[in-house]
Amino acid sequence: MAQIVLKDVTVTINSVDLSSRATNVVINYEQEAVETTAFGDQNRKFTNGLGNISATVTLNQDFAASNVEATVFPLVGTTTTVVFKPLSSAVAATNPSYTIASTYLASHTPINGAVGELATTELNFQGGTLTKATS
Amino acid sequence: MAQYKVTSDLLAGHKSGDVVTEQDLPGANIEALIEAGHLGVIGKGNTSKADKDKE
Repeated sequence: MAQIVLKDVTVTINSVDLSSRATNVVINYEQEAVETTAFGDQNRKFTNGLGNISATVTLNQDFAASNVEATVFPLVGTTTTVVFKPLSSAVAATNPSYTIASTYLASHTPINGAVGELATTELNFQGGTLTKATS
Repeated sequence: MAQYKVTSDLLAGHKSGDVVTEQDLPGANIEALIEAGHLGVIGKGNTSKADKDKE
């Protein structure tokens, strides 16, 4: 497998599989650059500072029992674990899983959309620890 | 360790009726799962919040 079109991404939020409602996922894996440039240097130099993990998930809103709204609403302002995979098949080098542990759900948009549009919600997870698994 | 009964079909790796502990759900917010109707506390009538809302 080389390049892929995202058709079968797995989205698990707080151990709940919401893949069938998810339409967009962005994982931001950042490492802050702390400048170490000093006199005598001819070019800027950096070292790694704090890690900064975040993720944005867009879901089709669903107010049914134990579905999107019921699952997400109690999580706002708390920390949880989220897991993403490019494909629903088993974890492998060509289908890595990305787990963000102790991530803080900073925002949720319970009602989001214009007249005639599908109701969606956008979730913003901030912080936590990112782990990539290939087996 | 507290045990919980799975009360929905969306809990990853588990099916409705399974009995789980916190160890089976690493990193999960158990209170939120109960409130969302995915888990019921065993020994407290096996009822999730969703079940209670239906009553």
